[in-house]
Amino acid sequence: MQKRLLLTLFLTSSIITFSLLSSCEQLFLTPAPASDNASVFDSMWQTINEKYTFFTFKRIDWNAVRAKYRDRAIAARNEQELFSVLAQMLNELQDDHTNLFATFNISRARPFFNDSANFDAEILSRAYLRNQEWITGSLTNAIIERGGKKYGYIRYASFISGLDTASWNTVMRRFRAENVEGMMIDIRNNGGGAINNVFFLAARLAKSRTEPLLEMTKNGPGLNDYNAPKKVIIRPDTAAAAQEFRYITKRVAVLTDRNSYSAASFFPACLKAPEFDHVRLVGDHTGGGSGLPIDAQAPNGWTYRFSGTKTLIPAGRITREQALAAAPRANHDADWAIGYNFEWGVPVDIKVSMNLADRSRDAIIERAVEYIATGR
Amino acid sequence: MCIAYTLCAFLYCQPATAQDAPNSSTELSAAESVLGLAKQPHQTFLNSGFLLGSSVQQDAVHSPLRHVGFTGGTEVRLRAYSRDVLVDIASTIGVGLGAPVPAQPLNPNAGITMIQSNTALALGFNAYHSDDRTLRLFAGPLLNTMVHVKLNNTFGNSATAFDLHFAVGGMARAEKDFAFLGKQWRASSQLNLPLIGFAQRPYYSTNAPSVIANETFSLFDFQTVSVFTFPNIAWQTGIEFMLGTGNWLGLAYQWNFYDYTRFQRVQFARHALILSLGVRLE
Repeated sequence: MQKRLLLTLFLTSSIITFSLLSSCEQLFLTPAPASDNASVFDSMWQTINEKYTFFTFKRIDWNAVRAKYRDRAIAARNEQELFSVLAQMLNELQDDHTNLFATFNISRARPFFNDSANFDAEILSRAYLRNQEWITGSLTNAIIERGGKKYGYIRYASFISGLDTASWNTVMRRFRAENVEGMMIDIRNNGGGAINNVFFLAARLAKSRTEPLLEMTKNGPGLNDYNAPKKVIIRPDTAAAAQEFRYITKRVAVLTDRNSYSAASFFPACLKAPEFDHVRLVGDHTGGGSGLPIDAQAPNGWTYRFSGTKTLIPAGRITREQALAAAPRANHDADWAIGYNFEWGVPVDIKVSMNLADRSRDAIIERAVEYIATGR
Repeated sequence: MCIAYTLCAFLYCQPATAQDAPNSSTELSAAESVLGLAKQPHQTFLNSGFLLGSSVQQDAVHSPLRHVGFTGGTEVRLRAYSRDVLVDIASTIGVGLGAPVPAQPLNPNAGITMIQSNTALALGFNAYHSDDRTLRLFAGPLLNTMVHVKLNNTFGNSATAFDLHFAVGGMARAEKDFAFLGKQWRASSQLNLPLIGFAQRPYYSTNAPSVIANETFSLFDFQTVSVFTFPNIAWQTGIEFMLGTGNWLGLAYQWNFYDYTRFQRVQFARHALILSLGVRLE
């Protein structure tokens, strides 16, 4: 009798527990979010409000943005209209790391879209490379001759393209064999990509161990909730076998423009460290993009991304005048004690503007040659 | 559900038969039981099997949406008995694919991949046993670790989210040996309940500060949690069919649920059936 009672209790409790778990589990779960226009708008606005990193730097009143767009979002009559309103809201951030992704469109902000172009692939190809360039992995390279001297030229078009040691070493061997005076690394019109490629290049140009950047990450929803700045450290390969492939004894010109964005701004930002005193930025200020983008999703399924960190060039390496030249509208006081926020661009060392009407000459390449030849 | 209720019905019909015909061949005595602890109090079993089931998740780090999908995986369990003590070490690894529910026609690619690993070390002391030891209840301490990684294929830098949970708690287990259809069976049910420990959610911005900064590895932001702030329940009930060689075939139902909020809330539940083979090691 006792056995039967115990077994009955066991079975009854099991059935009740199982039923509770499988049938009433919904009670434990947060209700699925609504996907009406207001809910989509509020979800996106609030997520960005808590995680975006440049409100102070860009003097953006995000509450005012909400007031400006919320009613328009609610009134949107179809997906395209809603997308348009949300994209306009995101573009108030003036941040090219900000996108809204839908099946029919991807929004983008181009804060320097109207700035003068300082790169023309056609001029480069016809006036300089002349179909004689080597394509070594992701490094297009050539020898440019001026006044009987040779200058190495590397075109790295996208930091998305992987860099490998074999390709780099091949180019360095070629430049050494040609006895070039120095070299150019052209990252104009380079929209960025993988950060590890930044460190690949920087480690081969650094004269010694360097701390080129500081990274700050949000650690809470408050406007000023950031972790303490973390140092980015680059350690060159000092092994004997690697020495001949480091480029630290001759001058280097890195060619930039406003379309040198994200990783293509991280790399020039690194070069402001004293361990790169043989390197100069030539061309236009970069496009910036100092925040690593993070991703989120709206209740209607659309995904979006925006900057969730900020990266600074340590204090003392950029003057106030340089900062204002590259980003005149920014609130540089926000982080000045820690460093220069290059979200809106890394100041160039030698500013040159191209005349695109002259199809025979790339003024930035010519000025880079002059720097390598003279040191000025 | 059907399998579970059928299983329960099997269990329930046996005692009546035994009571009606106490000397029939279906009655189980401790002396006859292959696994009866009265006969062989020291036994160790290695149990391995496959699980298949469903999971549901809401992780605000990735999305406000609920994701539902399939889960498959493996379970390995070492269970050692002495007369009054049970040591149970179980490791479960499950891989799941989840899609938003309701379906998202505006972004049909917004699925996630989940990998969950649960490892539990439980020590059970015999809290009760029937006179013939065919019914046994165990209770004791538990050491539980859980790693749950989620990958959103449509995301970039913040594609990966994770939950880590290391905790101590308690376990309770009931076992019943019985005979049915002339065969020997064991029914069991076990609840693992971590009570206090540490948990880690993705860093607030989902990019850890160490993404590019390599001086300080500050990925870990462990928080002290309790069963009230991080309920993490694992319940498994099943039936084992004795093969007559000391080994068994087992079919179990497992339910796992957890709920935690560290800035952003995560909730996860998994239902799974586990088909396993147990091998006696001694």
